[in-house]
Amino acid sequence: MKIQVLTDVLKVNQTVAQENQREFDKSRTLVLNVMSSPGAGKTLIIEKTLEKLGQELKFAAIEGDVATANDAERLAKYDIPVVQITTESFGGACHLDANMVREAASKLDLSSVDVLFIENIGNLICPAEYELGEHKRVIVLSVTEGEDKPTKYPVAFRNANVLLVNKVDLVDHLDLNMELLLQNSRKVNSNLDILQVSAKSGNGLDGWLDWIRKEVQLRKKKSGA
Amino acid sequence: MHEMAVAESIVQIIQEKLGGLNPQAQVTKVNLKIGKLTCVEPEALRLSFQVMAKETRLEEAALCIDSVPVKAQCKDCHKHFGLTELDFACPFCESFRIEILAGRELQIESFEIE
Repeated sequence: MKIQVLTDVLKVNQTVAQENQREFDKSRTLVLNVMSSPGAGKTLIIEKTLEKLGQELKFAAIEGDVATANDAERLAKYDIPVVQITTESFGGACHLDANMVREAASKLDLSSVDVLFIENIGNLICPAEYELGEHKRVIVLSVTEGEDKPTKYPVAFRNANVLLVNKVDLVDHLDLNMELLLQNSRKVNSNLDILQVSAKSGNGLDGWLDWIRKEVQLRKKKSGA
Repeated sequence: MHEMAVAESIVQIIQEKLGGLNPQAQVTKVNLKIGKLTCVEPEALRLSFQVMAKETRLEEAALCIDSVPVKAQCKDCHKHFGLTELDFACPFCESFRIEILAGRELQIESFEIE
């Protein structure tokens, strides 16, 4: 006997993600899902953002890692609420899912938070499939990873809203064709906002800070504030 | 390797559907549709499914995976085409403004019981 199902395998995750987003909208919090390969500079970019915008906006963060609380400790220095998710207890999962985020978010008081960063696990494959309830997806790609990452990991780049090309202070030391990197990114996702930054030197960060300011304003408007 | 999580969801969804059926029935086959533009590797999924289905009524089930090619439409010249190289450009007018119509599926179509 054949039984029709016609159900999306990730439907449960999507349903929880939508519930998460409704909660985030209640508190008018902009939620950013930050993805990259390991070591591209996600945490440093978040740190610099807290340093520069900490007086202007209220932040919170959910940190996803397979093991250790190193990144949460780095962010806690900025005196913001941080919840660490270590997926070791979920079988070392290579991505965050909507349930993990729901549990972590329940430990945060988002009522006065303008921006919640969700730092996903360093991986450009699995996280791309899992919506968490975020409003925007941010991809960090460091110049040392080469020009072809967007075309090698099209799902991640296709579903992103903004790309931060990080570590541009190293470009002079590399055989990197920046034009090709940008072209590959636009090819995979013609709607992508692309910003070249160096979290270390601070170069280009103003564009990123303006992007956040603009998105926070949009979010407040949409929520009727 | 999120195939393990995907396999777990497949087993869960089918176990729920089995609730109202003959409790002796064993699942013999699961029919899946998986788009080429998902991050699921069929062989890794088969292996994960074997692990997740152990000691359930899906233990003996075969996974039948229908791979869905990527289809798109150009937003500029409106022509339809298939994407094989995943280069995300319209083969007719070379525009990058394309809409993906198929290839993102990760769906359980049906299952068979005996």
